[in-house]
Amino acid sequence: MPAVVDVQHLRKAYGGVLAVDDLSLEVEEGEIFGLLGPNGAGKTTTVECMEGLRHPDEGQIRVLGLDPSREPRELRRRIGCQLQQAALPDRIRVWEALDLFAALAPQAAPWRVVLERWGLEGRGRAAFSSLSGGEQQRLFVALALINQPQVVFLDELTQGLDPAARRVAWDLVRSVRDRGATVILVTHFMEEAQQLCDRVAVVHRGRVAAVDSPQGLISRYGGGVRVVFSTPAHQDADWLRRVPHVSGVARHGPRVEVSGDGPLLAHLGAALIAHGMEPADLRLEQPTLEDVFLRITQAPGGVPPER
Amino acid sequence: MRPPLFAKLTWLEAKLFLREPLAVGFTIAYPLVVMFVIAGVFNRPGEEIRGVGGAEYYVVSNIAVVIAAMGLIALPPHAASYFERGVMRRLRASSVPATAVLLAQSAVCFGVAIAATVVLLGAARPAYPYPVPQSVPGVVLGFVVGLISFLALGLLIAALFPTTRSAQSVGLVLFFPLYLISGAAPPLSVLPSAMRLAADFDPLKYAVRALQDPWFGYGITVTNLVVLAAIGVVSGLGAALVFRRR
Repeated sequence: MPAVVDVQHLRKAYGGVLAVDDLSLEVEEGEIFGLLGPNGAGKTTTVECMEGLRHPDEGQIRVLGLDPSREPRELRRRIGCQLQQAALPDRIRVWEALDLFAALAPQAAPWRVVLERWGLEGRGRAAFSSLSGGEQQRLFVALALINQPQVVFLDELTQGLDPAARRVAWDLVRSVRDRGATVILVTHFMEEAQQLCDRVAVVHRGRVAAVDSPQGLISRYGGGVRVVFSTPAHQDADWLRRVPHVSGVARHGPRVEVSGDGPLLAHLGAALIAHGMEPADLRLEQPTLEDVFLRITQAPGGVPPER
Repeated sequence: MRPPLFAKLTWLEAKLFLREPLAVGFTIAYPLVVMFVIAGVFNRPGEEIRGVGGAEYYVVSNIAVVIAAMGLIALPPHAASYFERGVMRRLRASSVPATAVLLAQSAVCFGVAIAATVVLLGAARPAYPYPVPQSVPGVVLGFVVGLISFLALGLLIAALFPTTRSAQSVGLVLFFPLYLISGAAPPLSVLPSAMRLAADFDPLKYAVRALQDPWFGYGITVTNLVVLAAIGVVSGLGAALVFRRR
């Protein structure tokens, strides 16, 4: 089956600044695909090219088999977009916005139904500017989904939301996917990518530095496990280097960080007790997507070696 | 874009405009207040400006002030805010072209200008009983050409200054000098010669004349209409060019 979104060698510059530089990726039907990267990595430019809002300088894009630059109207009938930095007029009412966007899509559900589906019942007559951040975001998601799209682009969906509202938004995204749509999620929240995405592309300096499931990325680039504990600052910790499975020891005041792999914790625990040390706060730190992200984005050549 | 959709967009824009008390207040109330004050000052028996009484002169001139207020003060910040805040992007992502939105906004301004003119003429009637126009078609023509020209100018301002604040400042900074030397404030005959010369480059002067000439019975002056049309076309094309680039 061909990919729902297929990007090959995308390149886009603004003035002399290269925003996207030879970026390629493929998104399969029915997955939640994350674009993860620091600010300015080229994530938004990439999705805007997919949405037909920008025209690539080079490269090829197919979304549902359509070229976004050449067939934007046909494409937009079948995709939904929630944009970063978008707004509605302050004084537009919620029902008016839903009504206007429903008029653009023949297959749209009536606005009263949409209002209820997105938990905005009772807010129909509220002005856009009087909505809370969470309500505005829900309205934008509702607008993005009003034409029952096959592919949905969500760009920084949870920016500016408090943790509770963020979790509600995540549930919304899962429910969108469960209805059969493919979701492309732009984010720089690690936790969001880890919670939601089936696959994540780490975008760095306009390229895809790595693509895999969050767990796959962690095991490839996470850099092994770490054990952390405290000990009085004068106590020597260098002998820990000789313990099996230990690859490094770092000391920050009383805090000792031991990195390594495999059954590190068990070996370390046994060695500490044999040495007469019983730290009360000995704990294992599994690498997270954040570690992957930092390793990839801070590696001098762009992509660090897989471990 | 389908016509029912454009109608929906225009209707929505009309409602949004009416919810902006400042815009409504300024474009309707300002010309009205100015008209009452200045027509009162110059309404002296035996004194004539351009061959008519002061009251008639200023009632008619202030229709042009309505036109300028719509084009320079009401439209630019409103249109610019849509670019600044990402409303245009959101609409464009659903295949609503920016042109359609700008045309809908301009159509609303057109309608509000007609309403403001009706209010102006209605309110002036008891205080300053002015004669009806010598040439109604001429006045209508002058009104339509002048208004379209100033709305195009407003879109050009919004295109060049796509933030609410800057579009508003530029609109105001243009409005007052253009107004003061247009003949709608002091009569041109009392201006020093340098200012009179500058007035020849004032689009508002031509809008004032395009209304006055047919109203006072001086016929339809082609120069006025040609200048206004040229400003409209150049501004419209300029705005389109800038919007397209962005």
